Amino acid sequence: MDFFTGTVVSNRVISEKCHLMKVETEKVLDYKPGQFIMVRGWKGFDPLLPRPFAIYNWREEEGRPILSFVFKVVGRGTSILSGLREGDRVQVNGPLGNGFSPPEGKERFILAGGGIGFSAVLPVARSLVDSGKDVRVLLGARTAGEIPRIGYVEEADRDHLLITTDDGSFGEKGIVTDFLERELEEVGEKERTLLFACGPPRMLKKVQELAERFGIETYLSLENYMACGFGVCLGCVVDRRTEEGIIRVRVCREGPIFRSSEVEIYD
Amino acid sequence: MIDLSVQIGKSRFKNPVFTASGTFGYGLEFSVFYDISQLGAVTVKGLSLEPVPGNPGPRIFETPSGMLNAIGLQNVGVREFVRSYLPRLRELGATVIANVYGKTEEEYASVAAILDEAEGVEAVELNISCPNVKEGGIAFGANPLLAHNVVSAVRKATEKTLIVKLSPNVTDITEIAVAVEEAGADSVSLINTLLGMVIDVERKRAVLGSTTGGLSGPAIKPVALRMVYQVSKKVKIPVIGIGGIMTYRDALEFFLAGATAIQVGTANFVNPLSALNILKDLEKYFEDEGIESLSQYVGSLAEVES
Ligand SMILES: Cc1cc2nc3c(=O)[nH]c(=O)nc-3n(C[C@H](O)[C@H](O)[C@H](O)COP(=O)(O)OP(=O)(O)OC[C@H]3O[C@@H](n4cnc5c(N)ncnc54)[C@H](O)[C@@H]3O)c2cc1C
Ligand SMILES: Cc1cc2nc3c(=O)[nH]c(=O)nc-3n(C[C@H](O)[C@H](O)[C@H](O)COP(=O)(O)O)c2cc1C
Ligand code: FES
Repeated sequence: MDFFTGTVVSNRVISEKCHLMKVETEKVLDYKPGQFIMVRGWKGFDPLLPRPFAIYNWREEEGRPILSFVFKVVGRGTSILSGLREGDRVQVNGPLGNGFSPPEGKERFILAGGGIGFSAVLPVARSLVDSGKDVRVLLGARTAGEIPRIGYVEEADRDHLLITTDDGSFGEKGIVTDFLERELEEVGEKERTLLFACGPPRMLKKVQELAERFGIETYLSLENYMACGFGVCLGCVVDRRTEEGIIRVRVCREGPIFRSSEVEIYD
Repeated sequence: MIDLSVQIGKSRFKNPVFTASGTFGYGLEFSVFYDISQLGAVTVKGLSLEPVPGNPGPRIFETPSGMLNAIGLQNVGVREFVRSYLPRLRELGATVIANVYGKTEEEYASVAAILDEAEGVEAVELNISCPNVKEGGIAFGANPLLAHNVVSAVRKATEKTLIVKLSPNVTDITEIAVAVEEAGADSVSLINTLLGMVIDVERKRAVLGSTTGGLSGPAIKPVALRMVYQVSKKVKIPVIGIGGIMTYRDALEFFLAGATAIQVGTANFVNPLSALNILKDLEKYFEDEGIESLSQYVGSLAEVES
């Protein structure tokens, strides 16, 4: 974890409401897929708090350490970020959170992302593919305009990546969790399979239900509202079931990735 | 270099820049970013006799130039703090103020008594002002008699420097300040958060899980400053200013209004280096302005004759 100022090198529109921002940093910090950063890209104190975003990539690109993240414009902070240009400065804190490490004995991975949830799903998918695992990705969007035009999505073949839209304007027509259900019906070796999902609360609730019904070990990446992002405000907690009963744990520190069976999702 | 040290009760703090309870965890997280022993003091999250799970979510929400929180005083309990966290804070060389919260007078006193014996706690700060718990907290802070009684009880339980943290959610904060001074407080700190609310229009319901929450950040600074100014005129004990301090200039305003020291809260979330930056900028400012002692600067507000 480090706190620093980086310089925007590009801020590309990748879908109707999403941008891919690349920031030059002093060095590449080790991170795990599924970890996130807190970002502020404006002066003064309104908006006040930094905003959390999943790390999309952090690596050398043409000899420069480049941190990239994907964001959807939903409010004031992300609107300001969408207007940043090459050379603008952003304040970054990270990498934060636990990130994803595949448990022993899993060979087949099914990853599902709803809406902007792809921003946490794709880095996890990439690292699993790189380590030679069998990976299937399902991404759901409302409509074609929301599909991100980024390398990973454009280059993937259909066996690896399935895209669904609610209105059928791209890929399969329907809701991503319906396709996930079909996928799970066909899973042979349940013990060796792992399901990972990130998306809006309603989708995660459905994934929890499927996880339980099919008896597949499942992890969810949560996106609770955050103030500090590094464990000091206790603002981001989720109810976690333990042997001693329910305890409230910090999504920014003990998460954002939790075992599906442990956490209570509120819509 | 100017001597920034300040005397509060029995304690000599090396400088007047402290952190505010609930915004600095148990201090340890910040040691990744800087050496926290440089600060005048770090105030840890409110401690109670038994661990508290806190409120259900959502607990926080940003508002114009501020934020609302309804954490509900989630904490590990005073014993666990003394066992597991305090030794690490001591290793880091931090000057520790332990913030205390109880449901009853007895509970406040018990927590203070445990801290009294703990090595490495410089001062105790009584939170009689938390707006986010149903019982206790605010009840003590809103009534001069109850405030007096709880402070008297705690005064008997600890020899340590005793700071009492006041609530702004009262009609006349100076009345409470005077009551706790009479009961033996060494200092008052103010303000805690202002009670507020946000509503989600689409869902027609309050955004926070506990409906209301405490407002902090730049939005509350003018209110905090006014209260520090009023209280400083009424009590003889040192006043610690809190509320929306983001930069050294904010801190200067509080010193001019009469604060002996300040606490940095919400700013820690915005930039984890905030408290340290404020300290360094203050040192530079006093140096540049040729101000030789902080005590000469404190309360030196020019009064306009009316
Ligand atoms: C660990 C984590 C990782 C995230 N990763 C990404 C990512 O990779 N890409 C991305 O686009 N978004 C991500 N988010 C969500 C993102 O942080 C919010 O969309 C963003 O903070 C909104 O800021 P704003 O100022 O534009 O919106 P605001 O003006 O603050 O709010 C606008 C609307 O967005 C909602 N909102 C605000 N904060 C959040 C939040 N934390 N989660 C969900 N809704 C929120 C508000 O309730 C409000 O309705 C992530 C959130 C978390 C906690
Ligand atoms: C998330 C959060 C948690 C807090 N928890 C406590 C607490 O446990 N005890 C306490 O006395 N004050 C608590 N406070 C109040 C702060 O210490 C401080 O009085 C208040 O936030 C105003 O200062 P600021 O505007 O600089 O944040 C909390 C504030 C915030 C924002
Ligand atoms: S966001 Fe502050 S503790 Fe998680």
